[in-house]
Amino acid sequence: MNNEDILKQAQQRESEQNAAANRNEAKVRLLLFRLGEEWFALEAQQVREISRLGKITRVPLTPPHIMGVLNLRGQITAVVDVRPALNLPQAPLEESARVIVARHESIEAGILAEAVVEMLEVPKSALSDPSHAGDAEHGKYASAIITRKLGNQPKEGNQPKPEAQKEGQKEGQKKDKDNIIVVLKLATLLDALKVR
Amino acid sequence: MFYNSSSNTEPKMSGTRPSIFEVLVFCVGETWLVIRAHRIQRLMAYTTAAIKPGAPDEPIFAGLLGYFEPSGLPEKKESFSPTLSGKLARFPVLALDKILELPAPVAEDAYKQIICMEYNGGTIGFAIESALEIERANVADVRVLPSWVENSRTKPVVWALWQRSPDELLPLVEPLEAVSGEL
Repeated sequence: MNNEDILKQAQQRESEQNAAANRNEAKVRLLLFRLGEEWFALEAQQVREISRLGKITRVPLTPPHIMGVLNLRGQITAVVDVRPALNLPQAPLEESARVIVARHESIEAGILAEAVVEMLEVPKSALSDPSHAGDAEHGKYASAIITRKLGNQPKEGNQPKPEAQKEGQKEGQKKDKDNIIVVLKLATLLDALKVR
Repeated sequence: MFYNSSSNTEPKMSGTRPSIFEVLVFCVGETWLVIRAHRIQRLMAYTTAAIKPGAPDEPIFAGLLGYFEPSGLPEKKESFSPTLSGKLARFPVLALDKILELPAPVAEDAYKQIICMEYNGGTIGFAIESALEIERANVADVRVLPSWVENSRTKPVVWALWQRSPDELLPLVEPLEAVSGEL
């Protein structure tokens, strides 16, 4: 066995040890969703269900961020638009929009998402200090941030046209860069949006 | 008292409390709402000619459109259709969309009807866009508002939701609770 083989063996052992450590490390499951061009996540254990927008009933004398109430199989749930709180533009909603019904202690609310993307399982060590969240408003409601390569999900019914292929290639380069996902602090967010 | 949103158990009606009540389903500010019918004196057509601005010393109500003046109505009785009979007297007419902070109607002639209700021994009118017929609502279909959207402003005015059909919820409103001022 020459030096090169020994080095390879050591590297392989180290790699296996790292993989084992990762397997043993506590992980957190996150529901990833999109608002505007930004990515957010909620801890999966706080999510009760994901629903289509359905028929939302507007309630008079409530602030604009309260979209109304929704009847989810007999459960009346308030639906909130968190975009103003997160300093995001209120673009018209498309077919991909969903309501994420989330619960923190006794408070339950439906949170508007422009699209729900996927469920992620990440090691806790992948969660970073939220002070690195770009926008101050995001930072206020962030419990952590993670960076991850994400495909730019084309909006439903908005597939790229052939003439946009070149533009798409440019976009493809953007896909390779790390996206920042803000893990929302649900308790703080709901507390700030509750009608008082 | 009512079917609680946090439970799927229907309430048991006790004693002689009626399990059915009458409601008027109406639209204002692009929103369908429900009001209990027992306090409605009449439902009449909104005619601009009959609504006169108040004098400067008149009491000021939020959302005041003007005062209904019977003299402003055309002679023909067919021009309005009261649901109840009774002598018409001068009374204030308020824009219900403004009181309930709903989107203002785009069209100038959006108001088509006035819900007249008893207030402080007189009458007060709420201008609305349209109304359906009086319907019968089952108490078991009345649902409480989620505590999340309930506060001191909404609670007295929007006091519950009526589940008109499995996928239709309509807010039950009590507009008199939002009115302050002397007739």
